[in-house]
Amino acid sequence: MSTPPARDGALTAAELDRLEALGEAAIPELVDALDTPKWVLRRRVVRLLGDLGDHAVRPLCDVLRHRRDDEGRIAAAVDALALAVRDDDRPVVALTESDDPAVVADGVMVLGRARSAGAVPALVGLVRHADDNVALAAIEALGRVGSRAAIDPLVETVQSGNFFRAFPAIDVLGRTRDPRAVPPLVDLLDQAPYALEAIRSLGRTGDRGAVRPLVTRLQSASASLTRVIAAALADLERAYAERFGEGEPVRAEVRAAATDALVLRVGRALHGADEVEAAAVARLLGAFGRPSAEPYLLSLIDQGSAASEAAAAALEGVQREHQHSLRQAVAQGGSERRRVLLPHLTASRDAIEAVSSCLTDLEPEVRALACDVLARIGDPSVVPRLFDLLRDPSVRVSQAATAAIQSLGSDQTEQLTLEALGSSSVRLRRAALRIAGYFGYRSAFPAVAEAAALPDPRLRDGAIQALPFLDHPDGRRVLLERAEAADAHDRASAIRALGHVRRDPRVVEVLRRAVADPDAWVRYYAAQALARQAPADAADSLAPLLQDAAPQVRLGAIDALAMVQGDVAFQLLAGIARSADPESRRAALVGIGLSRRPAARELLLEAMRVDDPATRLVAASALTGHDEPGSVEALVEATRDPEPTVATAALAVLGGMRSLVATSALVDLLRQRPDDPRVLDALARWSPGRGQGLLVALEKADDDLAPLLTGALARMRRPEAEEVLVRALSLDNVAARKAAATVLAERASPEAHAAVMAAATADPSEEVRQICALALGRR
Amino acid sequence: MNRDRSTPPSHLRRDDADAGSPSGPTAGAGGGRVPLAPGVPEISTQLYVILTGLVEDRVGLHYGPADRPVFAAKVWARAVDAGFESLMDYYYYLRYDDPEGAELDALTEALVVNETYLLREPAGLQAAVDEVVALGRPARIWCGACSTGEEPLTLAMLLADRGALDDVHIVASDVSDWALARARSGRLGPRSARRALPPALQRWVVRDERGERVEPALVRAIDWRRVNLIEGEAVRALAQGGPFDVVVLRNVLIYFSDDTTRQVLANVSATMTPGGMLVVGASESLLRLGTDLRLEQRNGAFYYRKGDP
Repeated sequence: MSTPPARDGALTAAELDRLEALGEAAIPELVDALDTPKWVLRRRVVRLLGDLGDHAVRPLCDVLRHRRDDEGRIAAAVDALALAVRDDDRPVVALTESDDPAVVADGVMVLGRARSAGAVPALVGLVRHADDNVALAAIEALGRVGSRAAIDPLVETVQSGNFFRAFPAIDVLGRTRDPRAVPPLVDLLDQAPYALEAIRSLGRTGDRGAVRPLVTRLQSASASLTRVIAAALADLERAYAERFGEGEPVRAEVRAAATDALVLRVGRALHGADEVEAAAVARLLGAFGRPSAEPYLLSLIDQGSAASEAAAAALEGVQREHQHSLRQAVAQGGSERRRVLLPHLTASRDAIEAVSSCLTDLEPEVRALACDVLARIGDPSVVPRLFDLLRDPSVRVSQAATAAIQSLGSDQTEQLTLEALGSSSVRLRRAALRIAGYFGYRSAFPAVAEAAALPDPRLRDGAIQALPFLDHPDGRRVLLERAEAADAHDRASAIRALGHVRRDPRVVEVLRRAVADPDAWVRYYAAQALARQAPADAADSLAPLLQDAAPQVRLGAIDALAMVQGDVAFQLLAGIARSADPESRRAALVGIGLSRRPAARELLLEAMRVDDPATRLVAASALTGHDEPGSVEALVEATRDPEPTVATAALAVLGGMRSLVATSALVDLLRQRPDDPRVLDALARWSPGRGQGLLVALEKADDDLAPLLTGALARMRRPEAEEVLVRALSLDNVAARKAAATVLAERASPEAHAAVMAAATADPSEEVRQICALALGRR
Repeated sequence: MNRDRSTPPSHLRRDDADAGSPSGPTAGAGGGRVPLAPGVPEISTQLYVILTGLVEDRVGLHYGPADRPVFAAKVWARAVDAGFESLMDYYYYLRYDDPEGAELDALTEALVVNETYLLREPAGLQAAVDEVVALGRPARIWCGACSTGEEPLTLAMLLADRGALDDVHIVASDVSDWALARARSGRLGPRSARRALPPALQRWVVRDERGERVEPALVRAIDWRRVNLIEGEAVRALAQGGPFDVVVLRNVLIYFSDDTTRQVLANVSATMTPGGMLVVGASESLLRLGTDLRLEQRNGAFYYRKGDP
């Protein structure tokens, strides 16, 4: 054994390098170095011991039992143990049986930080420990582990009147999200020392049963307490939506208790509120659903408050039944108010005048939004007014007006388009060409054909792009002529447009010639148009372009091959899928992914390991539909990618996979990352395989995982998912039955109600029966 | 004909008076094709990554995941106006067929189009004027990212009002040729004068048959330059006529990543006199960046000061 490192700064980074290389053999020396005075070095010692995992656990436990003469060493040992505990936490659990309360408290702290689910029974017992420090540590540890198994001792602690222990127990009770936590917390609402903490904790329960007591408490609350309750109700709604798929039942509960006097009291609490509190108060005012809340919400919007978006959403809630005043607020408001409120207007014909008044707003964003809202309302009578905006100085407004006209149609649109096609304004004519093409007006053909020969290249381009869609026999002839034009712009434009005409051997012949055109963009669009025309030998025609001097043509050809598919195209793409050029490689990977061939998977998996994050992103996305174990494994790995977009894409692809393997992988991820909403989103996508996979997972889920799985089923909001929840009530696993009962109790369907009724009396578990009875009592 | 640098796919001439629209029955909503539905168009993650990567590489503007809707709306508007129906086509054009960067400039302009108007956030400009007047000697001000020029024009008005314009050399720069051309014309847009000017400054705005414009003498008092802030050499070259006593750089640093901001600030700082003043936007804080600039406040205006050597 080597000499232990010297003290007082003699331990060096080089010495730690040596110890790191030794692996497990270095444990005694590292343990000795836990009291090294330099923080930077001590932190590294802790990390190294943590990395050694279970091997370091017993020596570190020995430190906590026998070497308690240095606080720094004890703290470092606790840190290292929390990192080191993996599969075997028994030595740490054994610490909790010590006669020395300080040792017990340290062991409890480690178990909590390591989130040792297996240690929950020991922790539950320690909540009642005679030593306050141990009991406190046990309560906090249960909070970290997040277990619902500790409800009874936690409730007992809350009711004990022991100030020191009750506070953390209140906090942890809320985090359990167990309906049984609500009544004891409600009991504390009128007990001065505990009321604030109980309000916050009730918010964390996400339980509908907590809504009424909180709203009732508002009636006698000060402004500051009102803000705390508003924040708690906002938390509650969010947590409820996470568990049950929507927040409306919580809002309905609030609405049922609302009065104008309450609105007044809550509205006044906005004075002195910070940004987060103001948003919560706004949400609460919205949930009240009473017109008396409007002035408070409008004032938040007009002040340009950071809570103005929340206020606008709340106003929408208030005015679901009172749209008149919202419309008035839009019509009479300034740009800022209009910008915030327009997206929240209900698409009703009654709103047309208010929205139309925004078409002349000084802000382009408001004008564009107004066009969007008019399109959503769907009344074609506004089309003439939208034509006026086609000349708007803002491109975004002009485009929004065009899109709205296209969306609305109307029997005046054709005539207005024909008139606009004769305008001297280039901008207006360009927009009219797009509208004419979109609707395929045969009557527009002469004007469009004329525009295709005008000196202005933008008008020629617009006209050529419209021609394939006009219902006129001469359209194709004009396009074929323009495809041979002397002007390269026109040729490129015509070739691009020929991609949109129906399959035709004459067109294919022109396109085959165009792939050899001297102009790069003609070749680029010829490649794409050929792929759309899809002649049998398209891949052969495209192959030479893969060697083109212009990079965009090579890439366009790869994109086109992806559309063509077939053996030849696949072989060509496979050859490029390992290209050193990332752009080419990415384009090829897209096509390869679309082929769904087994050979494609290997290429995609290989590309998921390259350095370039954009390539990894494309490869991960291209695995969509490749629902096999190898792909699932690679995607799970990609969910840990340092580039967030890759990780998110991998989760989205996994979410779309239907196999049991994919579901099982997502369940594992959820267990590891219960707070990652992307994982829950991915799991909450319905497919028969997903339902079956979740039922399988529920068979073995513990008290922490089961509510997450039932939450995923609830969020699907489908009868099939509810069926799975009902079946979960018949599983042997009590944790699954508790979680399923909690969700089903919130469902309105007769099937869910019948299942909960039956479980309330017949379930073998008293806990399940309690949960069901509590829920039925609330109905 | 040069096969690599041939005709663009459509007609990319910059024309502010012209606007396009999303259209075309073949277009599909979402990632690559012109969106048909009204509302803010979408963009696929892959396209977002490569397009924002290109913009960051070439111009230094940084876009994170939260910026996606705004970026999508602006890039779609520009791409459609330029005659593209696919963002992939547009990306290829920007990447491979835009050697002079004209289209990238147009896109940059659309991305950073930042509302500017006369007398915007006046406290900062007033502080800049107070600073140079108090020097009691000829001074130099640089107004970076000036867009269509309302900010340096306001500075010039305020200085003229104090009788100090002749003693101050104002350099105004922007990355956009189009914006600079507009600034040099002295023409004011319909919203340039949205904030009512005090009577003393109104004399600098004249109305003719084409609308409002700033007195040509005032426009000529400003040295207009095209400068990309992330090009260190170009920034430092601005100080060839002497270091700046005041730099006004408002509402532009928000578009850069922290690393790029540090780089820009280092270059800007190199153009300033020791103890010189840097005025940034009201919502921009540099404290987290750990620069050698210290925050000061005067009459409600916050600004930074370069340390003495």
